[in-house]
Amino acid sequence: MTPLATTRQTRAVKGGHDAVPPPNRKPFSIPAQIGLQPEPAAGQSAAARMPDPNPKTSPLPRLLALGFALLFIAAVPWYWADGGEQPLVLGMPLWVAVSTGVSFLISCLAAWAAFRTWPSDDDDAEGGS
Amino acid sequence: MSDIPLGPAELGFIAVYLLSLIGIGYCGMRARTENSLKDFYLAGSGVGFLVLVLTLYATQYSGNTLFAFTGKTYRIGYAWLMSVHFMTAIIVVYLVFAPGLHRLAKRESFITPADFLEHRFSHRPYTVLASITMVVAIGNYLLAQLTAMGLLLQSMTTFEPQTAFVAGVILLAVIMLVYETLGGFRAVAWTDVIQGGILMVGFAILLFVVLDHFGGLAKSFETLKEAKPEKVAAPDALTIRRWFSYIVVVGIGGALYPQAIQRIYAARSQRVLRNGVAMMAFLPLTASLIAVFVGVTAAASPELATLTDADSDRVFGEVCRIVMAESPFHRWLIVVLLAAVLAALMSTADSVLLSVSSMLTKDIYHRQINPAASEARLTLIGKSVSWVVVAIMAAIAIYLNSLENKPTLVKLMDMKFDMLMQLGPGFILGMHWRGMKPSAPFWGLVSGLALVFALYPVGTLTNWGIHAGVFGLAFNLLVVVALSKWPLGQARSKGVLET
Repeated sequence: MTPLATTRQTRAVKGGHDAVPPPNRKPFSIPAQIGLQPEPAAGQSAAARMPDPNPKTSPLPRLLALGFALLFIAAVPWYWADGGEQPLVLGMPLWVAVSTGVSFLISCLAAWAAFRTWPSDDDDAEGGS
Repeated sequence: MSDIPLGPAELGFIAVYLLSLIGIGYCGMRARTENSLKDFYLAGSGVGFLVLVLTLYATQYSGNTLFAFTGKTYRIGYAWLMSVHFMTAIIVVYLVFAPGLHRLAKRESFITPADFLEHRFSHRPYTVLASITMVVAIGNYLLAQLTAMGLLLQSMTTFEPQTAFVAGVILLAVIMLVYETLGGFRAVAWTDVIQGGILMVGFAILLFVVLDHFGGLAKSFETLKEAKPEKVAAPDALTIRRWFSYIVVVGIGGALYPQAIQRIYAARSQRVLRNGVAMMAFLPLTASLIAVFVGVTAAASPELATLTDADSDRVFGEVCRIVMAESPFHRWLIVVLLAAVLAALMSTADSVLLSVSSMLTKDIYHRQINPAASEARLTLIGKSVSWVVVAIMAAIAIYLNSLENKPTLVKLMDMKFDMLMQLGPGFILGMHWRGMKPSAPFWGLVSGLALVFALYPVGTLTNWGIHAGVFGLAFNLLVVVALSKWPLGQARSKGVLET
């Protein structure tokens, strides 16, 4: 059995959204709202519904969140109480140049975070032609 | 939009470009591997890096970026630099939920955004309400794109304005429908490659011709410093609050555009998506920032001094009209730029249309009306839905344009992000928070939307510089957390997720 066939089989068990009507899902009807929560399909635990059933804890996401928050706060020009227009940088007022520069740093951090934190070990298994 | 009448050769160039889109749609149809929803709406196994980046770019930067962003900068000056930040914020939000969403989408064969919600929460009212929210939010966006297409063609020809508008809407809508019906997502993504490429070239041309004709940024600064100092000064407290609010609202709302979520699904692999997102992080600096520079330069130009703030949406057209009178070379540069505008409008409209069609077909028809429908039938229904949706939207666009007092769509356009961001708890928090109860995001969404709609007529809080969506999201999150920590009917729902 190919890896893809295994995936298909698993999906069928979970009541996926393909041509076969999902047996565990009921159409929406207002009066029966209280009973609307479908019964869980076999093996469909909370963990199975998450992208990563066994998440690893790492301080990096928190540090990144802090880094992005600080950069966005620095990017918004709230701290130029008086003026901030001179000297011109590439024809732009100083506050615009600083704000644009911080924006560039946010882009760099986003790109770095994508490469540093994004898992890519399952590329081949998920790909296709 | 200002009148920029084109000659036969220039209109011929535009016509060739439009016909090439149909050719691409035909190629997309030939590349089809199966007659299924997945193939029609997500191009089967997905798209590679270049196609993903250009289709995301062409989808996120609409004609609005060129018209409205230059106009807004003309009105408020450098403060519209906030557009660079809120467009970058979208990418930062992607980092939070796109990797997990993509992995699940491949594993579970998601097609519509609501497929994730149904998988994660199995709460049918939430799935349906989320779909309806997305259709309403972006349906209005489609209407705006169709209207802009009509106005653009109206400005390019010398026909009677209303006739030109009607012809423009119908002609461009039919071309869009033909290539989309032929090739589905594959055709839309491939045409986006052309349209995204033209758009990037268009932005570069725009910067070049504007700085060349009107003088550099330093000259504009000196002029504005004398005549309109508020446009170059650091912003006031109200604008600062609005700036932060925009970052939150567009950052979350823009990341939850259904058409963008479907592009996450469509990425061929995690590596393709990761590289695409990393690349997208820099694109606001090549699009929004250029629009800001053009707006500032136009605001300083004496040739545009007669335009009032209310006319600011005409700034882009006026810049084109002035520049193209300079020489035949400049005239052709502007023709390419106009093709780029057309590309931006059509690429956004076709992506929105495909997304609306997929949600109506899969989330409403398949899930609620006919769960036993075959893949071939669903695909046929999806194509038919596209034609019906465009027919309705085009009729509304033509009707609204014929009115004496044309109603403004600006408020509804703004509401798009306020509405979409209410889906944040389901998509973003739901991706990471295992303990989130199935009914919590539904009641959160209901509460958030209710508050957004309640605050709009009042206007007091939003006039303070914070979007209604921010208050709605805060209330939404409060409800989600409260219901997840202290669920109603605890005994009944306990068995659902915690088995």
